[in-house]
Amino acid sequence: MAVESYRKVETFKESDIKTKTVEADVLIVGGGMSGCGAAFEAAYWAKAAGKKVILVEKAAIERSGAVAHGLSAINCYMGLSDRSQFTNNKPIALEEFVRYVNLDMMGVSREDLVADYARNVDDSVHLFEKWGLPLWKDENGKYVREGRWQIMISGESYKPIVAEGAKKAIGEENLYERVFITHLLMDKNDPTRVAGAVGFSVRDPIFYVFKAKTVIIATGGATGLFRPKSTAEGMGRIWYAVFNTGSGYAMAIEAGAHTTQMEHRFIPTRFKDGYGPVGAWFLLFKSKATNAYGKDYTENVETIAPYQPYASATPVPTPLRNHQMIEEMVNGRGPIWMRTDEAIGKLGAGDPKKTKKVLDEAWEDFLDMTVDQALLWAANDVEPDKTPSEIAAAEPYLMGSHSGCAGLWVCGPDDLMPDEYKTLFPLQYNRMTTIKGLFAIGDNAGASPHKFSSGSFAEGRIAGKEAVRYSVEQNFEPTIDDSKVAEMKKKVFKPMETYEQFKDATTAEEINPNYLFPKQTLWRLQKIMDEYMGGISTWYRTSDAYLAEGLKRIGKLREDSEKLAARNLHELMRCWEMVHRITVAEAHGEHLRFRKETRWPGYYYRTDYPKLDDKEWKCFTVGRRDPSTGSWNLQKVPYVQVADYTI
Amino acid sequence: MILDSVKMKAYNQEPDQCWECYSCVKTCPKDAIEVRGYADFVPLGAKVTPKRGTDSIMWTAKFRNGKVQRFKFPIRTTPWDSIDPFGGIEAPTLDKLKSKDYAGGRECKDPARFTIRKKVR
Repeated sequence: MAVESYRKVETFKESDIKTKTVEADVLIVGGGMSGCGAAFEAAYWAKAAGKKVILVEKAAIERSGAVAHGLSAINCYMGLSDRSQFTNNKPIALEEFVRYVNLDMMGVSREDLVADYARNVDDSVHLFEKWGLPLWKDENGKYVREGRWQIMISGESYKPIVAEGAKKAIGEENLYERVFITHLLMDKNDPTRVAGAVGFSVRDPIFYVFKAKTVIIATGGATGLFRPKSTAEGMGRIWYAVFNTGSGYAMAIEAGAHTTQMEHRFIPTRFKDGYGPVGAWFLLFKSKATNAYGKDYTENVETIAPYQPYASATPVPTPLRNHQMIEEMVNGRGPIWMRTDEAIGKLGAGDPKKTKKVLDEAWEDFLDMTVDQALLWAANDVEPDKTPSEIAAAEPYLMGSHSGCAGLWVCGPDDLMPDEYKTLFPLQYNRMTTIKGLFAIGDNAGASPHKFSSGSFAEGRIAGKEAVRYSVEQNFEPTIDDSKVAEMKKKVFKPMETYEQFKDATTAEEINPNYLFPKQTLWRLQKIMDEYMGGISTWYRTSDAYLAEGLKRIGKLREDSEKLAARNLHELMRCWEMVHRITVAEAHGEHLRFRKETRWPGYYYRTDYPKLDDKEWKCFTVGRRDPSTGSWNLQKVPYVQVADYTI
Repeated sequence: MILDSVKMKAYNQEPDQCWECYSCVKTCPKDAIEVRGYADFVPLGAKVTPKRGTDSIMWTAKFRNGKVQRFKFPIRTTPWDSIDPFGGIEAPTLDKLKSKDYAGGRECKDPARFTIRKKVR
């Protein structure tokens, strides 16, 4: 693919760009599910406290974030007040959920954080229903369970409905859309406190300075770090949101916040190429997946036997199921097929009416959340009741809300957080990072996976309330260093200056020794990550020697990112997204190097440490990049089982 | 999507960074946006077209072989713009700021169900 040739080239000189300063008590960065939850709850408590809450979003919150497409299920719902069907005729116990999540993470998760969102998540789902989200109900009026923790919805408009609620809660005047945040601001008098953020409008030449007592980052996970399976026009068809560029992780890391489990990545197994969801097929329709010879590879228990006790967990942890599939493919027994034909055959049982119902549900599953998979079926004339469809493992994504737990080290609730976790927090506010006043939620909060859409919203609510409490209790007025802000403004718009200065140095502007466009930086990053840090081309394998070389190359790329060039405000956003991605890639590499074991086979393999090592590594990796030197320091924090359950 | 102010038509300025989420297709008031699937892997000739109303969405899937299938799914049970976020919810008071109560309270009233049984250390 070539670098895009924009029809609209419009650069601005720094001196022509207006600076707008906005003050608030709570600044929320990102308006996806968790950001909307934070906005709703913070706005509620802010009324009593007389505080101001604002939300800044690089797109428009009606369709921003990973739920832009819609969803066909809510994957985190406990059912504590019996609104949903029971599984196995008995109500859910929260400890069972914590157990399930922890085992899916191969024994390492922040159970205090998981239990905390789990005990609160139902009320958020009820709120969505009250606002107008259609939830599937059975003949007794109970929510239809897709799986033990999941319920089915008709969720094409899930995000617009939630966004409407959030928007009305904070008031439209407090919503800043099409504004991209590039850096956090630290307080002039107390550099251990966050004091706001800076960014720019992606539509108009305006530089924004947000001065705030607290900042909640809710920018989603990181995609685009690794070379995707489709590399030309289709490189946007990755499973996780293409516009989630790791900005929240990166800005917090640059400010000196502690990270956790940043070595962890999620490799989803999905319908091949279109990345259509498999949850409904496996859980609701009870479909099997087989190798090329018709064998159900999940029966290969010997493949995962070395990874006990986790291999015996029910359900088998996601990475281990991936591992079973990858072993088939590596050893020549692929492709892997989702046996939609058999599943529909069984459910339909020869009754055309029943068959049609299942087929409608199957198509809705794609149309509600991955339209492109429906298009791919239509383009291949697939009739799912007659032929199976191929599934495959995707490229890696860093995220903290799905079966992925990369993120920031955040404080837990006071009634559940073990003492072992407390030492790094200068102040204890639920979901606050190790920087005073900086909160992280959704994908940005580490070691607390399986929140999905509903749990992310619920976690946003927890942090939203705590941010208001911080602004009430802390005797703190943010002070901004004006000279620092002037310096940042210059830095933020530098790629436009670079372009104007050098664009005529060559006869083809995209091939220029003086600068790189963001797309070129993206390609280079993806090549490094893919080849050195366990991407698809090595079947997710890496080692210390590869990681060391990869990090060296990332270092050069970081230096070259000083020479990014932008031809319009949209491309300027792409430049800063790339700077953010590079920081996240570096964090990933440093964390991967530190954990000397293979804890999540199926997500990645350390060929030099191929075993899972509970004795040394059943712990969290916690990292910090020194903002002044750029060097990383990593440490272990012991895992503590919080909930009462047995493996 | 971006507007070409000369032709007065919108276009996708970065097709390879498009998620094909159909948000632009669904929201276009003139139904003027169509998706031709990613050239990398989608055979030509098929089309999936939404028509999004206020309470439901209609989908027309045209297959490469000419077959047409239609689907209709609900999208919302209440009128658009009808949300009153704090309607029917008790007003907040500062004395509850330290509590673990959230707006609207907890529907499950049984502490045995919403309390985490902690592992004894």
